[in-house]
Amino acid sequence: MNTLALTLTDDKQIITSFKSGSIETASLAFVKKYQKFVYATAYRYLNDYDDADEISQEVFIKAIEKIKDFRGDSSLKTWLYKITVNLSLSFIRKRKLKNIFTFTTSNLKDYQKESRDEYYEADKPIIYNELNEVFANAINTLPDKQRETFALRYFENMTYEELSVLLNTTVGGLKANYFQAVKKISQKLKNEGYHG
Amino acid sequence: MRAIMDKAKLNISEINDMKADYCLGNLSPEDTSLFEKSIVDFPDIHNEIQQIKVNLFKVDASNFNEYMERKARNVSVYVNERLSSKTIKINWLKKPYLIAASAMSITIILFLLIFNKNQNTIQDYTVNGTIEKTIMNIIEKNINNEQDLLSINNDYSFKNHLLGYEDNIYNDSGVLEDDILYDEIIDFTNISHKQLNYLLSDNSLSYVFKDIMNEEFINYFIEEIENETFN
Repeated sequence: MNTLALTLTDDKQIITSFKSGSIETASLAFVKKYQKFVYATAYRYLNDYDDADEISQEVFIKAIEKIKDFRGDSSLKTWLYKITVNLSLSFIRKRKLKNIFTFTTSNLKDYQKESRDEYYEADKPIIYNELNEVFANAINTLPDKQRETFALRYFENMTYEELSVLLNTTVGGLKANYFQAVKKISQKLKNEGYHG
Repeated sequence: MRAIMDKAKLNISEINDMKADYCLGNLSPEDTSLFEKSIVDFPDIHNEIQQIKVNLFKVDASNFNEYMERKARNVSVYVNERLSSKTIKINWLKKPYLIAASAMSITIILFLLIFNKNQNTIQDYTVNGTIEKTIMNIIEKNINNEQDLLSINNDYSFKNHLLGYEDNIYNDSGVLEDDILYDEIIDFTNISHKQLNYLLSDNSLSYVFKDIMNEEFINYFIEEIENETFN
């Protein structure tokens, strides 16, 4: 473990470190800081853990290659979010095309359900629990904007102002989206029997 | 939230802005207190919010975040592995002397390729184990087609003799024709009599391959034959 990397937590320090040539240290700090954020974002779009893993790696490789040109007009988090969304959407388009040629619609649904069931069964004893599973499903069934508003606000503690820039939506619109998302998730949990 | 905290109560717009965070338990204690004090004036919203809060009671963001953190933990490992291979390439390009060394190596390789261009054939033959056959085929072809090897017009019979001569034939000066032939080959190829004998009489080029000079001779010999310089 590169101990110097652990001391780099501030975005400015990370960028400076990159620009001064300490690529390895800066990369480690950079990925460690944002890997959960990028992974979770990719997962919300892709709804598949393996795909999220693959895209997350791509995001960081691309970001590190380009970070010397990063002008700092936005935060690193915002920049990474945009790269992640773009790569995820591109991946979805490719996956759809691929699926057209390799699966019938019904087979694809079966395959996705099977993959997901296998995953949950395998991981459940370690950390995942049923409530989180229902919660994750509830989030992923929301419309894109509500889902992203909810996730970025609730899990990433982003301010409405930051979200406004990121999602290109007014603060008022975001607040409405956020509450709508909360309401739908609440209803979903209730329907699944998870209410107090 | 400073301005809101200083207020006695929130208005409807402010309540709407804060109600999602309130339901999820994300307001500060001061804001929560102010929100709860204000909401009593709006019973419809109050009821709606209470329902939502009840349903979200068990939801825990930290638990979910912890789960995602665990799922994402391998990303840094894989990225680091992929970057390591890339870094080597980047570092190479950063070193001027390495660029110079690479350029020099490429130049040498190109030079050798050009210099050895005509040896490719012999190398190919050698690799395929057909060199002996090839040389002998070329020689035999010349002889069996009754061509005058080295432009010497003679009434040769191509049987039984090491070069196909059946009988010793002498020229007008009384010199044995095959001696003339030998001499001309030697002149063309700068080889020794002994080497030529190995090549042509024993029909076994294993002798020739025993040292590098003979190998060089074969290269040269094949080139000469293939380029028809003997005609």
